[in-house]
Amino acid sequence: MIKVTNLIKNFDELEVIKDVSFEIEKGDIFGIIGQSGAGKSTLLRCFNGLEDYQSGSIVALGKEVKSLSKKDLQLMQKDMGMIFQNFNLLNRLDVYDNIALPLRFWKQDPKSEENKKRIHELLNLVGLEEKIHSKPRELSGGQKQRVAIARALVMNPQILLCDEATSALDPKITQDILALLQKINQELNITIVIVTHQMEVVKQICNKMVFLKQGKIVAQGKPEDLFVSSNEDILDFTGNDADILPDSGINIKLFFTNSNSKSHTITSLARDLDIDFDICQGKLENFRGRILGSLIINVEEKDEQKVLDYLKTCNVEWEVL
Amino acid sequence: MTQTMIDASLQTLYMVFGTTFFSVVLGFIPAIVLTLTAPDGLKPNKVVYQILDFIVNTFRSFPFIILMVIVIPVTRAIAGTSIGSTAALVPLTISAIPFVARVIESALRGVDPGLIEAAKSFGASDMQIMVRVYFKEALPAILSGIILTMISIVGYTAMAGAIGGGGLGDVAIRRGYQAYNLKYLFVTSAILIVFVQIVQNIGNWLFKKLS
Repeated sequence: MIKVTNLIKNFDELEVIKDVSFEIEKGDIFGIIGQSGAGKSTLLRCFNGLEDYQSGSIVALGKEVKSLSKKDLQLMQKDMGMIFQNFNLLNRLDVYDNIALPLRFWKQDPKSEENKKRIHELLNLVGLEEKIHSKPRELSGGQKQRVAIARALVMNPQILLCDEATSALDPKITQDILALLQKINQELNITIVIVTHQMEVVKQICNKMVFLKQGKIVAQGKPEDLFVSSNEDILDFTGNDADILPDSGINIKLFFTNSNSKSHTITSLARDLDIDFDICQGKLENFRGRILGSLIINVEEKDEQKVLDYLKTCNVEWEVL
Repeated sequence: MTQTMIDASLQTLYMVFGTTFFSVVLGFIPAIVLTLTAPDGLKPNKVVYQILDFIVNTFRSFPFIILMVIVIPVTRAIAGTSIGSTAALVPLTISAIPFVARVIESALRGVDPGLIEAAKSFGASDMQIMVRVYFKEALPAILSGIILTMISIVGYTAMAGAIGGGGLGDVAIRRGYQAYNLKYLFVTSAILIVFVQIVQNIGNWLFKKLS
């Protein structure tokens, strides 16, 4: 769908994207995550030609974005809907006319039977039928984003680009919007690219991700794999647990995936080795319905080797912190 | 006195509405060019923007009373004479154009850049963005800017009296001040205050209704 190869983008002297390569395939919900200023929104804007790039290539829907004429770029933009952090709805238009705006840009009659039907279907999809004649100022943040999603889908795009689409919303509403995006991905078979600084968003709906730091990719793959591996940059981003752990003894972090989550590693560890240890921290995380857990235990130094040897025999991943 | 006041009021109204009409029509053009060529505009162009910006600033800083005298040849060429309410429209319009241009430009540039970006992302052309996003969103601000222009034109029409433009300002100066007839001063002031209030209230009502 979108293939990025050795992409470099500068703003004058400043290099904001540094030799980035990855591929987004049809049907993906692809996450681009990183801190503010990592270049993720700029990268997203290169996909639909809102920003240009200096070297490397972006092949989107089979075409090199940079080489497109203005007309062809507009045709490509028709195939890529986009939603934004601040929703970007026109305040003076009601919900219906906001959704119909792209139709007007493509010289279609927004009041034709076909388009009326289309807009009603979309309102139904996003669950806002009764708000059809409301103005944006009468809507909540979550409702505004729903209107923006309907607007982005009105031209039947193949790809939906989301630029920090949930960053201005509270956690509950974020959940609802993510569920809606997932539904759109599955039911309408639309590829979704999500730029976000919220780890939760990527965990919940993305099947692939890249982690961007200062314009470079420092990690890429499935969110659950990146969660288990202990990439310095990702740990740094999600908040390193090391600083709140005990200073004495040895801290060991255990990772539980579906295959072993139900075995009783911890209790059998204590029983079989006949030792005591502290459990310092434990958490369960949901990756698109797949539950992954991690647990940090603190063992006495004299027990370290015993415990590590024991863990090697268990079907569990671990690391010494 | 009543007849004098009615005639003068009509002349003032004629000058205010005439000037507003012509200056809005003509002021739109530099406003659009300024918006398009601004550094954050759709077609950034430093040279065009700075030249136009300079011209607008120059004309705005001209004292009206001096401008009026300087443009007398232009007034004669356009209106055939340099005396009377119609002739006064020429200098009034020339001085109001840069004001209108600034007011409309700032209304247009007040549109959230996010909306422009969203429109671009849907494949809109520059023309469509100008009409369907900039003007659509900025309409209330443009209207309230035009009301502001009208009110300041009321002030300028008083000066137009100095070159025989007529109107309430002329009556106030000649009969009220120079002939020292306080009644004229009071009545003309009262009419102008009422007029400005009405215009402002209509403006506020429109702004509320549209936004």
